[in-house]
Amino acid sequence: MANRWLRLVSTVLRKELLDGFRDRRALLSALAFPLMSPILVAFMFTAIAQDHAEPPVLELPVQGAEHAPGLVGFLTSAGADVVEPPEDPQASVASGDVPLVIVVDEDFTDRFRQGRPARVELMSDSSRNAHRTAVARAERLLEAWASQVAMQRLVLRGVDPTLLSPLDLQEVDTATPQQRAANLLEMLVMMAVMAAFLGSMYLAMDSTAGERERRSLEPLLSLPVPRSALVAGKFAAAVLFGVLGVALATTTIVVAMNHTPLELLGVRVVLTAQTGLALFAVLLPLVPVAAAVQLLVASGATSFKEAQTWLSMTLFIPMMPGMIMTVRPVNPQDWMGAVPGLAQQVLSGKVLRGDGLGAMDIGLVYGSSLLVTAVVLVGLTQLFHHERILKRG
Amino acid sequence: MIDARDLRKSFGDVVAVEHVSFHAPDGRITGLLGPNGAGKSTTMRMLHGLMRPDSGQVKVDGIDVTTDAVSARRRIGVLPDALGLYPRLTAVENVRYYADLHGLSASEANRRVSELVDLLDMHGIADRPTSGFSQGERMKVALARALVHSPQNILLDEPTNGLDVMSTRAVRKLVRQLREDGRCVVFSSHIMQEVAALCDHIVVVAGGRVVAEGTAEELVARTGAASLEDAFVALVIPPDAGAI
Repeated sequence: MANRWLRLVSTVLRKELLDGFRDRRALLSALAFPLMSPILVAFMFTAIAQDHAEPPVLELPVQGAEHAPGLVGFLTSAGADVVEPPEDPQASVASGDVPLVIVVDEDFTDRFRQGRPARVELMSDSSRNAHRTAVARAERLLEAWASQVAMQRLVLRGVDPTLLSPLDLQEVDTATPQQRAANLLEMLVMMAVMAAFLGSMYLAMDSTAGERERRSLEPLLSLPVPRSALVAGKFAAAVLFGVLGVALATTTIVVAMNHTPLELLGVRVVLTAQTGLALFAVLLPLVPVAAAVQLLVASGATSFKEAQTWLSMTLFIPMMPGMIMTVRPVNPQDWMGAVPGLAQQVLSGKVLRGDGLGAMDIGLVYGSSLLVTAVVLVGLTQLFHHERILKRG
Repeated sequence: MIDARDLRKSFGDVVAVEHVSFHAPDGRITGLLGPNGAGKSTTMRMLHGLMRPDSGQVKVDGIDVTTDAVSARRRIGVLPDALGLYPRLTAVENVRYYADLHGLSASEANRRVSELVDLLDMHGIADRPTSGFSQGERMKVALARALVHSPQNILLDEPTNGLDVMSTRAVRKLVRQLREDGRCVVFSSHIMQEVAALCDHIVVVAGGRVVAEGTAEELVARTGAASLEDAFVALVIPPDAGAI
């Protein structure tokens, strides 16, 4: 009896897989996203990294250098390359030809000699992200020169210059490079979660709402086949497509990230095969949940179009925790590991930060996912027993 | 052999079928004749347990469909009013899927499929995906699918709908062949000529009820009409409905 049931399930499974692999839309939905998105992210990271890789010498166009030979000397000795200013400094900065121009006031020499504040303009365009580092470096150099001069003046007047520094501020960043990288990689996690949903989505829709729309559901239900076997076969096929999507997504993430110069971003991430496997293990339990929910939603919809609408809305569910965490980071709580979707976000973060997973984490995420899947599948089987399943919109 | 007794089915407030009873023995073609919306398809669906009657009983070869639908369905082949094939599967793959779902062994399934490809003259289309099939070609595949497990009882819901003359003739020939083989065939249609040409026993359904039954000659004789068409109209239109 159980043997017969399993044979029927495998018959349905084989047919749905054959059908799915011949369906270009199902394949595209399952494969294109996990293949493309990590590569896209890798490109983005590479672009950012190249922007951050600064030229070894900071070029400083200085106008009116002849008024402040001391300052120019300091800048040169600090390693900057003082160059001739462009003809129209303001226009050049505005058009982005040069990141900045330092303009020394004509009165600089006189005011400096008198010990009064001497004016220097630092011209920059703050809307240009690419030039931000250069501007910050120039700013730091100017401030360093100012405080050096201030100290010399105090010493000349017999005042201890340390009086000017009541606060000794030291910034200690506890984030290891790997942790900083993990924040960056949250985006990748979100994509992997999406891959789990997209992998099974089209097949789930086609084998239920599509089957009804093609009117092949009625003859199928007229067969001496237990409805539970039909549901199980369709579920298994959707799960296999989902697993395919997740496997592909994790593989592409590991490969793409290993070809991204993340170290140029000041970030050191080792995405080994082992990390990839851990990531896969975390994402895997989401697949049956997604497949079961999609089958239920699509079976309950009255048409293929309606199923499509509902299912694209359910796509936002796994994205929501990620989006919320990006805007308002929350410390992961233990209970989050028991909510499918949220658990993947939290645990993948752990894996990518190199924290490692505990038995408790794994038990919780697999246990809760299996429970949710079982409940949804029972509901789905009941729906298949109901005459309403045949009703078209 | 199919026995329907006092079937009733309602959807919400609408009573689709009421007091429908008939007997369809082996070796005979029983026709369900009625206008659109008379309750033919609903009745057909109750015969194989796809819909559950509110009251009444259906027995297929003595098996109660409401209590043991799976066993009853093993003895029934159904051609529903919609043909519903899988467009990305070939004709043979479509039929083979149903053979497997009926639990036929691989060799048995292969033998039956090639038998049906011969019988229904499907050689030209056997290995083509069904997506571009004509209505006649789709009908052949759906018939092969319904007959793949050699059922004793065959339910055909409007099988000649939308078919050209050649295909209609092929279907008629097949149905007669099934009768010669001693099968029980239930054939529903809203086309009188179709039913008159084929059926040994006609059950006229209108407004969800059986309004008359018998052979074509008996129906004509009973209504005193000149032809079966007149008899049909007389039976289907209630006397107080006024002239058409």
